[in-house]
Amino acid sequence: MEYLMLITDQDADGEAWVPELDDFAAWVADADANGVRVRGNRLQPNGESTIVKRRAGGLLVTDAPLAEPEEWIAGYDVLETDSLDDAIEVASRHPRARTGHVTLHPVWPVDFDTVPTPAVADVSLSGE
Amino acid sequence: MTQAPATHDAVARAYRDEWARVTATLIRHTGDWTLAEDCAAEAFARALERWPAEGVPRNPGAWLTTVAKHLAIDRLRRRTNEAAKVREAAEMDEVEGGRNVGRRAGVPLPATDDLVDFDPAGDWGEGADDSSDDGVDDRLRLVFTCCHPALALDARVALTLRTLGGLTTEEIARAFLVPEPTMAQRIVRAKQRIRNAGIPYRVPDAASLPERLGGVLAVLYLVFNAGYSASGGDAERRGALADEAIRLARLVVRLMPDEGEAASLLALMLLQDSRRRARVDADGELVLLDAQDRSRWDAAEIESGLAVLRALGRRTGGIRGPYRLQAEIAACHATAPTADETDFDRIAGFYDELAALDSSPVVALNRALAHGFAGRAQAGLDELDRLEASGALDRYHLLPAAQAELLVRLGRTDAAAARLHESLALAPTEAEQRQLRRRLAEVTAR
Repeated sequence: MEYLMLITDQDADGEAWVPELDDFAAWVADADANGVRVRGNRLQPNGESTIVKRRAGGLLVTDAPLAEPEEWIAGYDVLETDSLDDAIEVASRHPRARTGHVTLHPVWPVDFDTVPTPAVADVSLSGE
Repeated sequence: MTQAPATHDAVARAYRDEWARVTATLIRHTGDWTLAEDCAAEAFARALERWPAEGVPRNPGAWLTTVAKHLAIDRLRRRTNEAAKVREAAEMDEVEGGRNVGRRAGVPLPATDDLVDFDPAGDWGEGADDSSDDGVDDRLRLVFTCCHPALALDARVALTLRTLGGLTTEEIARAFLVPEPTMAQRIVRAKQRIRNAGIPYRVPDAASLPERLGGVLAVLYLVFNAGYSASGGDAERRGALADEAIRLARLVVRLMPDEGEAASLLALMLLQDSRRRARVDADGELVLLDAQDRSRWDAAEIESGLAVLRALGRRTGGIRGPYRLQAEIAACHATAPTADETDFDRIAGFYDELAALDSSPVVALNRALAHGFAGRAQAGLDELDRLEASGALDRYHLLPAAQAELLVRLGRTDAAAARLHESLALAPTEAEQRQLRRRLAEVTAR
């Protein structure tokens, strides 16, 4: 199973950040050594995101408003594990699980050759 | 046909004893929960047809598992063939240039993960089917998967009763006063989530076992309490829920005999359940512990609970978990000949230990009450007043009710009556309101 792990910095009920304790590098090294981390990184600070929409054929680009601290995604990792339990185990050791929270989104693999996505189907139907 | 009723009993007994084993084994082999349940149910239906004529097999569980397995193989073969036909049709469409023809014609393409690596002739090894290569009982995998923390709590409860307990969706819906389609949807959704989120079918590793076992026991206790508290709904159905919780707790204890908290939960349920008949009087009114007719307590059930605790006492060392402490407290009540002879000093001691493990305000309330009943009414009341000031139990009707009981002991009848009025205004059920009104009448008549 593949999981997209989204990370928040600091929740209201989160514990305080302790530099000596909360070692990203050690977590990454460990996850990489166990072969469960496909890729990952931190994101630019809150307020640097861009929203893109297309409406009635027109393009709408706006800067994303500041997210609530508990909703702002500070970083991400892609994990590849046998099951949710293994992903939980890896996620639970991420430093931000203590100060903020991490959310595990299961990836839903799509094979365009056998399963047309609604989007693909819509395009082809509207093109008729 | 004179033996038919006896055979029916045998099938009923096998259903209670073997449902979880048959279903759990099928889930491991097929990975398909609904298929497993359907084939298990069908196997029991076949037993009803065949056992009267052929006799009850020597090992009903093995018979049922084999029949269910063959049914599953048949269905999966048929599914594989149908899937192949659909795939062929889809390929034809593609050749004809219409990639979405099948879809528009309403032919659902097979979800490929329905058939993950399934080989009907493959790894079904005859014989010891209820445990796989690692020797783990499949029922234990089922227990932990049904109670996985990534499932919503109501989904854990529903799935535990359906797949592990073998209750029908209709029975579960009735027990929880939910429309049957709602409950069916909840169960379907839970199974989907197991697949989509990648919840594994396995027993957690040693590091996470204590926490995960705690989650399993919490689900069982929730089922028990839903049956035990019997506020509203069909009392008989709810009694069945308590019975089911006890049965499942016994199963968990059998599967994990070294887990003291599991056995403690079983003891706690037995000791509480022993009072089921005495908790409601002839008019259907709620009767509190100290007013219950103790001759109506189920002596055999009390003895079963005490026996579990005795066995635990011999085996475990100094550490007593929350269920153990609650069971010890229940045992103090169960063994007191009258309410006045209850050893509240001993109970208060257990609550002291429990409060150290569990900082919940409800435990603090009961601890204060126990100390108050143990002859320290003023100290208990002071503690309850502190709890009230903390705001942690705002709008909880049992806080003013507890304050009232200790005020009565201190001879402060007017203050007690005022607290009972407060409690009455907050009490959620009519049965509790009636009980409080009766108590109010007693107190003001003094």
